[in-house]
Amino acid sequence: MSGLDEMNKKNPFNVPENYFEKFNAEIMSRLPDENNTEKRNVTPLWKKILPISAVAAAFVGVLVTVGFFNNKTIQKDKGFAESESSANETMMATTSSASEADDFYLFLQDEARNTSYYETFAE
Amino acid sequence: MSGFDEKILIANLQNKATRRSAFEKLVQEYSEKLYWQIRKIVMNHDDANDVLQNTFIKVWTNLENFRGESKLQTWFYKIAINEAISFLNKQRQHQNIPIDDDSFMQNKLESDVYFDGDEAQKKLQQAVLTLPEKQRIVFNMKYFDEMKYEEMSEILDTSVGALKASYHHAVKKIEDFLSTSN
Repeated sequence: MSGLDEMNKKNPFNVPENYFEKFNAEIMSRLPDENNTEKRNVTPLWKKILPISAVAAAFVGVLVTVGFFNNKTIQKDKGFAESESSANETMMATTSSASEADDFYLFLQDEARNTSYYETFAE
Repeated sequence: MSGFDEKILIANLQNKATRRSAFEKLVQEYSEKLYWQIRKIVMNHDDANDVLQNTFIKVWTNLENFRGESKLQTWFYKIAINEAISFLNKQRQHQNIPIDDDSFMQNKLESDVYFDGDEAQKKLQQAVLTLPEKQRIVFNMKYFDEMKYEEMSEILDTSVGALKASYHHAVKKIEDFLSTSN
């Protein structure tokens, strides 16, 4: 190591005059705005889960509606003698559940429109 | 910077109300040290200026990620060195220069208008530039900055033993280069 030990260790590089003073001022003016950074990064939790819950709710709605119609079919298949009143009750329940299903789909449409997933229902 | 001062600075950096003024102090404290680390890697003043700016912007945008597990200076050096190496890699890629092509860095030294060393110092810099990149960084930190191996180990994520071996090999190569060029 004797060769290197004898060498001049002084820094042979230099910088333009007043470089560091100018740099310090310039970098502060170049820093990104903290507020923009915050808005870009923060997404409310409800916005994250709403699209998923809208799709899940639509799926559940389909199952419920299909379940009601299947229920009516199963009762017929079992061959029970239905009185007119019980048949009417079943019909009213089915009609009432159909209008509930319509209301439910309208609700989902509104929600999907708000979350820009409208295309799902427009197909 | 003392440990106490550093804790206060970190607290001020992570508090939005005091972040900007604390960052200004940080720039004043560290810009020169970081600049020279970067300059010795990229060789050229204009390139070093670009990398130094990128380094501070990266520090600013990642302040909330700093957990205080290492010293501030260690964290800054890591970012600065990674930025400098990335910068050189992009330049090589842009100019289609292989990583083992020495002439790329030798040309940077030759064309640097802010080099005012004597002939012996230029020869030494040329010798250093024949080293692989990481070994060059190790050599500069140990020989010129007289940094302790423990600190280098934290910055470069390399064991003290590996750093010592790397430095001794670097010294041997440089001395061989200097003796054959004389």
